[in-house]
Amino acid sequence: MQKIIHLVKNKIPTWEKIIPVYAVITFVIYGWTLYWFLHDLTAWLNYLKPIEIINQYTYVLMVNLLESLFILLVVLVLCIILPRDWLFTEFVYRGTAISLFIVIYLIALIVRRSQIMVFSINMVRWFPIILLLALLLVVLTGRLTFIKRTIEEIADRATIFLYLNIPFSILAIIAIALRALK
Amino acid sequence: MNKISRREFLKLASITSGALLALGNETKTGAITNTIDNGIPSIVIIVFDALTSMNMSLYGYPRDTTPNLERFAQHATVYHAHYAGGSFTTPGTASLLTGTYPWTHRAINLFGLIERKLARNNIFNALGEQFERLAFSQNILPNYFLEQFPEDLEVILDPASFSIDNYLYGSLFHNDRINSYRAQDFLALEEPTVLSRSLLFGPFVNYLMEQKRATVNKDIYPLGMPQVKNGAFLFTLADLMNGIGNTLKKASEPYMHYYHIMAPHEPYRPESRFYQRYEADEFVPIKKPRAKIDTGYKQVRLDANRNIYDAFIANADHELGALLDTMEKNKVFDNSYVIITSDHGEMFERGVEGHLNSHLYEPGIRIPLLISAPGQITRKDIYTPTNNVDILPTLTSIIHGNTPSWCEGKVLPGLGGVDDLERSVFTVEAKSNSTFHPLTKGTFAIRKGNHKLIYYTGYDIDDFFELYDVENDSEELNDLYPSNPSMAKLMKEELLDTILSQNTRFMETRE
Repeated sequence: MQKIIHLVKNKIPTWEKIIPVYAVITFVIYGWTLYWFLHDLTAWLNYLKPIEIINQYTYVLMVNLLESLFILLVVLVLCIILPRDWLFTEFVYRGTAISLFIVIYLIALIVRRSQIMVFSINMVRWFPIILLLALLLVVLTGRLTFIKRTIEEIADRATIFLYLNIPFSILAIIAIALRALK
Repeated sequence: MNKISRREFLKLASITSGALLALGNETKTGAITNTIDNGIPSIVIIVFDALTSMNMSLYGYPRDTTPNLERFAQHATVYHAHYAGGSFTTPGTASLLTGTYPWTHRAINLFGLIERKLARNNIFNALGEQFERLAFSQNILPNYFLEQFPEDLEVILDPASFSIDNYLYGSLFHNDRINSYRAQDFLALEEPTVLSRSLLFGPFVNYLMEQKRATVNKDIYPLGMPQVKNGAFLFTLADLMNGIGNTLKKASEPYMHYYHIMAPHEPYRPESRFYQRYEADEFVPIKKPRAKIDTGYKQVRLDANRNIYDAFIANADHELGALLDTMEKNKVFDNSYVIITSDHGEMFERGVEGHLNSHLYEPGIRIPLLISAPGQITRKDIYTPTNNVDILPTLTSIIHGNTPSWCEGKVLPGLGGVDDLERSVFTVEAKSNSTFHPLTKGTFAIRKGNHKLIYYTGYDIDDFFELYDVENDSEELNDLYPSNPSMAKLMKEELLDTILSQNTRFMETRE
């Protein structure tokens, strides 16, 4: 057991490397929902007071937090189970790239569903294989310095959004807890 | 009643109702352990969402869609000119629950709420704590209202009660469901061509629902199992009616129960034994001119969907029959007022489908109302125009001997009210307006005597009116507005004056 824990610990990147990757995940997850929230906001203002809209949005923030943590977990699990050279090495670049791939794939899934009104079963079933292929592509393209630097730069700059999204989400959870407990 | 109020008594005792626990979805505790017999009748209101009286054999529709309601009618008062307060669930249900028209309760938008400071002006509060007050709505939209006045209800059943599965995660937040339901509605929206607002949660819930739908036996449900359109659960009509029957069986008198059933609201999902019942029958809907606005559906599609809708009504009526049998067996009709109605109708004509449109033709707003009084054994028929805003004052008149001053409805004829043929009733469609501003765009209808005037205003075309003698021309084929100027003028003045005074009053109230 100790050996397994040690093995796992050795394959989890440091916080300094996880944070920029997570920042990109939250940027897309929160950003997607925020875009639609603003899209629907004018309609809501027709019949909801601002405080009511905010109360409703606390649940949205909570869900966004859980969604982003889940995707981060997927990336970290991949990091643990795959050989070190695949994802652990150059985690900021590879983790960011693969995270972007995952969220873009989710967007594609949603777009496809909106067209055919059911989830494309092939897109769901083939996802693990496609993910591994994507990882391979990420590793190969990492040799192109320009791409690698760009991705890392994106991850670095996305960190500022993390410092907004996470505190707001925590406040949202506290607000929900207070309302739920009253 | 002793010094301890009924509400306090209910809160102190624990729930023992096996049916409620088996359903697993009760959200407030109360004690239903002793029968209180003090001469006060119980009240049961059953609302069938999107049921138009124009498609009911009870009201003369050529298809045999409602034989069990006809059976119930044999010991009930049947209202033949009954109207919804609004043309879709939100305003229609709010009008029933508050006894006011949409320009007062302000729940005019699809996901709207009752004006916050008026929320306590509701049927449950008006009837009082002496009742065990329970409300259930499969449709999420009325649940928003119920969550606006939780202190007036001992029990609010979860919308997914009596359902197969429950993916309504918003229910987890018992004390804040008005926000959690809205959030889930936003995140897990399931509409054609609309993108999910969340990347994981919404698709996850929709995926679970999809998987569940795929397991449904197509031999029994060829179009899929009945489903709540804006909620994440499937149900069978049989389970639903059984559940309601069991809940009534466990209730302690006097009780006031409100049940808002999704059928026959779309998606229309009749069982196979009803599904194609009307596909090849001789009934041919009357061809009508296309409406001036908000059309787009071909008649072939409208006719096909009408067939399925009628089949769904017949299915719901069939299962209602079992519930009525249970109620009869448990002597509910001996000591209760049983009210069966709808919140709005449904259209399949003039290029218009459904109810979320801009029209107030008869199929969209003329709804059933049947009321069985305790011990009633004969049928009564009322032809005077009435409206769902009349249900609240009728019940308070029966129970308390008076009607609330804020109510816009009147006591129903046949239950203490007068047959007033000169009385006007209204229906309002104003979903494009802000609830916080006067109503400037919408469709308004006034029914007075035999005539109905419809007023369209604020649309992309010039304002216009249509006038029909709906008693002699129930299909509204002859627009009398040009040819009956005196009636048109009379009703137009009254309608415009009413709208103006309501808008003025609204502005004064807000100031």
